[in-house]
Amino acid sequence: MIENLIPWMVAFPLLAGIVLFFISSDTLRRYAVYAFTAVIMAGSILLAWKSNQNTTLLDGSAHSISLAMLVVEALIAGFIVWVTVKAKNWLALGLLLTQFILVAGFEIHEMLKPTSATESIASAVATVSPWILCDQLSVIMVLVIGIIGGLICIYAPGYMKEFHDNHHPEYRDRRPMFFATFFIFLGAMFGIVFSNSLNWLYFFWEITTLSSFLLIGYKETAESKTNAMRALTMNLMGGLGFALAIVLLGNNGVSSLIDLRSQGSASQVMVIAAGLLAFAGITKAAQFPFTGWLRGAMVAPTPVSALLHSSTMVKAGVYLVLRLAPNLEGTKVGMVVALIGAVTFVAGSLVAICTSDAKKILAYSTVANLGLIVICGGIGTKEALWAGILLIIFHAVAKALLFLCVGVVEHKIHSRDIENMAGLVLRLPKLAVMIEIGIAGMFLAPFGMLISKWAVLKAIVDAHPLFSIFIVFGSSATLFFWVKWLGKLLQITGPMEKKEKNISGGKWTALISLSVLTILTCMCFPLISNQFIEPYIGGGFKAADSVLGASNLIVMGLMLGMVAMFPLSFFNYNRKVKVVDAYLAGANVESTDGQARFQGSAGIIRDMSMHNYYIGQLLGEERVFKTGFWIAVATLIALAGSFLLPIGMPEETIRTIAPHMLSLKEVLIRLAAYLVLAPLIGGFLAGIDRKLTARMQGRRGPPVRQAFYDVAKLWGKESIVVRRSQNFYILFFFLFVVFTGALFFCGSDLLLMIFSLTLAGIFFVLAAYKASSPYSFIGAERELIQMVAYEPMVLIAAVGMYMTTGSFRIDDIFLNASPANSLKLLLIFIGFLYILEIKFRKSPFDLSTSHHAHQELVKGITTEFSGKMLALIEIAHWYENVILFAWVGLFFAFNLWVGAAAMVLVFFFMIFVDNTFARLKWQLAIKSAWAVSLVLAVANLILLALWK
Amino acid sequence: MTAFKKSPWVIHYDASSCNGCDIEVLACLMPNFDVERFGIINTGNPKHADIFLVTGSVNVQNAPVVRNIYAQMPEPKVVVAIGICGTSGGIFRECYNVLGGIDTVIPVDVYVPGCAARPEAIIDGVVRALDILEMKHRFMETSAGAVGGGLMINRANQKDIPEILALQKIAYRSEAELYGSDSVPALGQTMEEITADFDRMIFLKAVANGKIVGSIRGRRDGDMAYISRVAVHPYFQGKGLATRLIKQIEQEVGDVKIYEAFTGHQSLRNLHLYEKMGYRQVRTELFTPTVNWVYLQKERK
Ligand code: SF4
Repeated sequence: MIENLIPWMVAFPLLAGIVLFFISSDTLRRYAVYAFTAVIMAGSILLAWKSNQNTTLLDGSAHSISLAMLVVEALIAGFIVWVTVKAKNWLALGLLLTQFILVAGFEIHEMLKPTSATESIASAVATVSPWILCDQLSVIMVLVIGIIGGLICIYAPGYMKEFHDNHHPEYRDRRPMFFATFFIFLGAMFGIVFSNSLNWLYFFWEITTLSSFLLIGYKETAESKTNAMRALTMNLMGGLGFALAIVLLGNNGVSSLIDLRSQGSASQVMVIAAGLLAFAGITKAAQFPFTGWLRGAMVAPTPVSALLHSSTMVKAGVYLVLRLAPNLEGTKVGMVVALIGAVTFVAGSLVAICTSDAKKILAYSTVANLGLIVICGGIGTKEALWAGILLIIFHAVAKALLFLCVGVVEHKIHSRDIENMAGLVLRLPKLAVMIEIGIAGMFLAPFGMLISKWAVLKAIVDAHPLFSIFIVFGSSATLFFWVKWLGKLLQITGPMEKKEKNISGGKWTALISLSVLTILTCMCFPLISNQFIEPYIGGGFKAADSVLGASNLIVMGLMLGMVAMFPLSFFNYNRKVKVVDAYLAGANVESTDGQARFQGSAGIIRDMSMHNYYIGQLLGEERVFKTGFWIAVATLIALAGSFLLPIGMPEETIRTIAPHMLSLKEVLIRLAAYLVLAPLIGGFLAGIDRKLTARMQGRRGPPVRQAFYDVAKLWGKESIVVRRSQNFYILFFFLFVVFTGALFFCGSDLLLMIFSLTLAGIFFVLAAYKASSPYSFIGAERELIQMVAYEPMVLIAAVGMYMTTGSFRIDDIFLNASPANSLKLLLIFIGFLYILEIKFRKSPFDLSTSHHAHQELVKGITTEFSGKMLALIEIAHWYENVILFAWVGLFFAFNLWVGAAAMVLVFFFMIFVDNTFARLKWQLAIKSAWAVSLVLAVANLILLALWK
Repeated sequence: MTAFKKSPWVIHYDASSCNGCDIEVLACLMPNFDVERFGIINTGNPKHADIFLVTGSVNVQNAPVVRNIYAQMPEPKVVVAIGICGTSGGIFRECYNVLGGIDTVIPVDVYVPGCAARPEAIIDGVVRALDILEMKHRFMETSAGAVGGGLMINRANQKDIPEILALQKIAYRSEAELYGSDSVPALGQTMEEITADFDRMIFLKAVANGKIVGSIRGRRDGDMAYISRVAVHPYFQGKGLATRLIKQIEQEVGDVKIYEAFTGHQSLRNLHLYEKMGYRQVRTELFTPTVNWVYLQKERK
């Protein structure tokens, strides 16, 4: 039955599209869309259910289908010629004509071949490889396209109705064409993932190009027309690469993906052809320098952006790149492709920091994440491939959810600026929760994307360690805009009207399903990996062994469990805490309506409001965009150049060491010791710190036990809050800090520990956002900036340790330590010291809060916490400091005395710096931290590579 | 000795001072006097602070700020008024805009005289404040258990009046916050007025650890009983003490048909309390532009 299902899956949406084109009744169209979508979704699931192994299809009628395709292709080409001539876009016209002549000529030539020869058709067919291919990767893509694309289809009718009726009556209502194109698009996507024949693939490729052109230009404004034309031109460039590859491969007897895969990277021609195809993929996946078209695509209505960005169009690009992985692995071309992905990841993430337009952020983050997938394809190792496929799945779900949410929010609050989304938890509570789920899915440990990023990092370190630099900088940038967005949703300064009415059932269905899917894919990812990804990669690849490690899965399960407890805490909502106003330097004005106000200068009463920092001035959206563009262009030229050079990279030696496993008893002993000793040591360290500081300032200072007195006193104080739920975030901050330490001292994975620590930090920041007081808000912003500043170096330190000891597991690092290894990481250690100053919140980086009285910030991030919660924050810091010092010791773990001496020296050094330097501006803090991290990390990683 | 004496965190506010006392406060924090020896930290944030140091007299402009900062400090907290300006208004006392010392707006625990107060005196004041802070903390801790058993409700006598007045001023502070003004009559009551009240009304007091922590008064007029001024110390609020006081006064006023009580229209907690005890709202009256009195009545069963 699967043989019939596959062609049907492609044909059905195409036919549905044609039917929809002729339905003019609004209601009828809506139900038709629902029905067709249901069929498509059911078909996708059925297909996934039924297909267990590689299915390939070879149909006798394939030749006639090819002929039909050629005719359609000619028609499409004719249409594009018409639009390009009309728009006087000679570049696009030239691109189109060249590729059309190339492909058509080649195809006609091929078709004529068997008849001119004496052999029978049957034997000719036998040597030709199958036209259709349905393996696990196809199935994954079908599910992504069918289900997520389907949900977007369900969402679309309601959205488009509101779009035309309420919001944009000025645009011509072309909904029949819209939905027709929508479904044809889906059909073409199915075609792409089922095609084995490159000619067929090319055919469907061109259809997606055309449909995207039509959809982007939907509004028919000057802007949308230009953007549509830009999308067309850029995609045609990719098409040209594709056409060249077809001809090149055809002349060498390769006409299908399977053939190409079996060729590997053996011959130069194959690698060049793979490079050309990857180029096509890069354009379609909107990588730098072709990002412009995706950015422009945002003028289209939201369902289009969701469709293009999350599940379909751009995924076709990365799908192709991943298919090419076997040809790219270990080649220079592959390296250049990965470099393009890496540049895109960093540039995309950095551009996203600069803007507050939600849709733009989503678009850039899409581009960035696709860059990550392209890196995986370019590197092409099994681990990378695994991570890449996982990324496709997680990204599609979470991003579709976010896009659709933003679409609804935009209709309800008439803005898609994140600054205007303050207090969305009150205004649109359900949507806010969904956005939170989507964002969590995008970057929070232990959710989907983070697992994949983690895997990417591991895969890359094995293949090309220098690439990890891109990953670490890119991901800390993403941290910034996601947390800021989360915080904005939580922040409440006054009463707000609930506006969550009149959202159509179709929209809710789509949104709720996607939210559930986001969570489900996270929880079931081992299953997905087991059933689909690992068999596809083949060769006995087991993600649990080579990428994740069984114990890490347990740890992630624990983290997921802890995060899942979060909503539970709301049951305990109405506890006996006193609610007081946010601190406004005593200038609060009493109000009865709940809006926080203060008496400003000249006695004028003003509403309190808060706005985010954007790193816009520091980086500049256009500037980063242009830089990324030119670097990518240079890389592409290098790609062309790399064809001329001899192919082949030295084989990397993959070190494996047997992991040192702990027994349960050992784990428990270590945990108990850690839980008791860490706060004791941390508390005394804090006391010694204060004593030493006092001595450096010529004072006697408090007793060494002072920190304990402080905490004991805070414990006895009354609890006052501004927003009741702010304290839950602190509880989770505490919980995750303690958990991080447990991971460290039980010798778990270093990267996982870093993610856990970051998660803790995020909870802290969110608590301060939630408190909605200007001082805690500034503190939160600055804390976030600090996190962005130190995050890269922290990760690089982990990478460096991996490179010297061959493991990310802390126990193994500890056991494999040697003086030589410590020496090899000297530069990284210096960088680590730099960011340690930030992490300890010491001058010159005590930006977010400080023990010294900085009146302009009051107490920054901790301003609104008092009593027990402040005590918890303090204890959490003790734990955190102990973890960090232990990490310092880990750098010198070859000898316990040396390690201990290093810790003591670092401690004195921190205090010395704290007392001798003035505070820096936050701009300088982030710039200098990044510069130091970058220079030292690159230098050290290069040295490490040479050392081998 | 508890940690409260070891870790006093202060917030310093400069009301209308000449800055003389401020400089002395800052001097305490400097190496020469180094109050961090005693664990004293200047937090600059009321939410973290235990001790409120105020210098200078209070004027119309900064009275709300003083009140606001005080309200934002978590219990237990103490106030130290520094300098003769802070204690009484000092040389600025007669100015047209000056209200007087700090105690005209918030309760003051320690007065540190001097012009300017010397650092030694200030430190001494803070150390005295520590004893009060610790006492308050103990008081707060015992309050949790006291309501059930160790708390006695009796008729008050003449010499309890000053203590009841003090309690009233503490208890009604939260009301003043609600309405954003000091015009709540319970806050403005003078010694003479309350003594006059005592002569015609029944006063009840709730005593814990020898301190009056709650009071109520009632008056009988024919078939009607009028209940007023339920005052409960902040530490004891929300523990059912008010309910007990109202029940007791209902018995003490004797044989009447109807009980009547009143409260401000925004004092939702009070309204809720009365309604839970069977009172029904009967009428509202405008008292000031910002405050309406709500009258409630209950028939005796
Ligand atoms: S007491 Fe004297 S020194 Fe202090 S504020 Fe008043 S006038 Fe100035």
